[in-house]
Amino acid sequence: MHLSLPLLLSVSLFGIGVYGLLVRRNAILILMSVELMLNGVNVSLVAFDVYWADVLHAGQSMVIFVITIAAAEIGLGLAILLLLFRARRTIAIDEATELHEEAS
Amino acid sequence: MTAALLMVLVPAVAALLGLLLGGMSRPLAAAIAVGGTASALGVALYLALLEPWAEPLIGTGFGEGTLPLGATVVDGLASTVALMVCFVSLLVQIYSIGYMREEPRYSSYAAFISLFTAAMLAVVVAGDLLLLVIGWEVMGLCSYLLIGQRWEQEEARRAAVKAFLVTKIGDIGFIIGIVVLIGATATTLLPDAVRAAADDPTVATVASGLILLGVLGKSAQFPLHAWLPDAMAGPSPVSALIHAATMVAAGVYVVARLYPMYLAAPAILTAMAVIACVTMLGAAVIAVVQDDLKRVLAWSTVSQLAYMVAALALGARDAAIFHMLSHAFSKALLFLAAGAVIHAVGSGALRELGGLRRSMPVTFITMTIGLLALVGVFPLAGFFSKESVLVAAEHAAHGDAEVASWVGWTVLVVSILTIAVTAAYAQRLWLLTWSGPRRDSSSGVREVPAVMFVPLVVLVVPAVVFGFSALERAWLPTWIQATVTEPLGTAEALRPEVATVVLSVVAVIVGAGAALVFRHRETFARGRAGSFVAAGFGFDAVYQGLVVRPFLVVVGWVTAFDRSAIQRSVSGVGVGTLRAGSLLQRPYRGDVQRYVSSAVTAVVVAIVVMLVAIAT
Repeated sequence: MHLSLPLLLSVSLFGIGVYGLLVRRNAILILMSVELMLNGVNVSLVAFDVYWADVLHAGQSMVIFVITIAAAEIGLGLAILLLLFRARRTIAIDEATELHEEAS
Repeated sequence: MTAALLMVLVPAVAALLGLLLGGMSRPLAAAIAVGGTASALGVALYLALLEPWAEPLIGTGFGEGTLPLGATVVDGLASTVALMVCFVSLLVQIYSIGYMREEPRYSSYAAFISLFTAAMLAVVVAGDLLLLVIGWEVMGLCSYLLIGQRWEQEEARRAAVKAFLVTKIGDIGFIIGIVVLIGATATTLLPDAVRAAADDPTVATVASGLILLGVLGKSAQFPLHAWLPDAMAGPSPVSALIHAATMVAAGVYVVARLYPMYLAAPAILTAMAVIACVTMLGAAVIAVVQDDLKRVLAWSTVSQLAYMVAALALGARDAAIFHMLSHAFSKALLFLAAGAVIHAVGSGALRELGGLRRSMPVTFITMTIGLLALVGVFPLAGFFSKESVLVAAEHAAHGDAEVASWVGWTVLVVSILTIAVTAAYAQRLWLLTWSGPRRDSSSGVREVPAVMFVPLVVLVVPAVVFGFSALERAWLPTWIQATVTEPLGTAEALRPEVATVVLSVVAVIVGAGAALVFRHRETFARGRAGSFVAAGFGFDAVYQGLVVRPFLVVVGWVTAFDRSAIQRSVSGVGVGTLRAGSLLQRPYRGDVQRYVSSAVTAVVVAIVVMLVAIAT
């Protein structure tokens, strides 16, 4: 398989993720977008690993790390969102402005 | 550490202890104060017994080389004056135990007196000019604190501030003069600096002229004399110690200490003589019409200090110091006696006194002796010391001094006139206080306790016999030689001469007789001319117009400049920074999505730029 196909998939996933991150207001969708970006990177890592036929499989091991960290991050992020929802009955991120510093 | 430095430090430590511990009990405060002063007197006696007039005792101080601090010199002049200072201070401390019995702030009062003694001794034994300045300034501070001892009274507060400011005006000149002296001679050691300055007439004239300003302030000479009469708002023992015996004498002493430099500046000596003449006669005339016991004595002090300044101006340092010592004894005696009268009667206003002779016999006799010594009646100390000044004036009139002979004649004539006026006000004071009918307020007046009249009796002794010590060349004239700054010359006996004795006796008789003849004239209702004189020839109004008002105007300008220029520019910097900050803050509003889009845009732009760069 030509390298450009998995890279096209990877770029599409990353681009969709960036788009979601920029335009969505719902915090859960933002978290999902971040996951999409991470997985886009994962695809390219695996593709390059296979393409170079790396003996040590550095790309694949990196993917394992990324998945682990993404799982931890999502756990943390959902916990914060849960507390935010309990306190405010909303998870729209542009309404959480309490730490915003007023311009003088 | 040298004994001289010890003599300074002991009362200083006593002052510190008195401030720290004196609040616990009055006897403890009194014991610390009297003990400290008595120890200083002991050290002073020890120093005098070493015969420092033959071989001066030099203390090198701390820190070798360029800046030796705390260097001391004790020659005959210093040791004799130190002895007088300690003696009078000790008597004043003892007297104060009785006088200040009702005083709630006795401990701080006694501590300040101790500190004052230390400062005066520092000036007396100072061998380096910085120690001299330190002692000089601490004395000014103590004077302020002690005049304001009864700060509940408006009068005392005003007098304290006035004394501080007026002497401080002179002190500005004093400090600049000392700096000039140090700068021109490149040493802070007093003997070296004086010797070097004496060789250079320009330096001598500038430095001695500037230092003279400080001397005029401390010694209450025209035109910086106005603080001393107001300083009578302080307690009487303070007046006795500071405003009669020691602090005002410090000015005279400093001139005597720096004398070779002054002798090299005849213009300054002439100015001193003129100032002394104005002060001498003017203050004596003012004293005649005062209606307060202590104010009479205060103006009298101003007048007597002028005698010392005049003697210094005529090149007769020994006569000046002799008069300073004898005046210290008699004036301390007079002020302490006045304090006793005020203590017993409860008022120092002359119209409320009178007929106290029988109820206060000890005070009566001692004060009478003090007045006789002040006027200069044979054989009391004041007679001999005043005669020595007159003899100096006579010699100067014949051209035996650095100054022109007309200066000598002027001083001679004014001195004789002043003797007559002195006799008049002393006689008037005596009559109003002791003779005549008893006034209402003096019923039930009793003699003061022993702790107060014993110092009076002790002071009578030097006031009576001290004068004889100048008759023999080997006694006082030798004891007050300044061998640190000058070679040991042959001291001359300070003997009266027939012509001046006759003149001054006539003057005393005329003055006292006039006061006796006019005693039935009501001296208090004076009319406009009289109240003008009593207010010190309206000098306070002159100050008000010439100094205080212009000063307030300048202060107004400075305040306006401070508000409009300095304060605005300072707060302008702050406001400007805040505004610039808020401008920069605008993109950072906490909108995470905007941050991310900026970052993405930046990355995209960077990639495009890189691609373009690679392609070309």
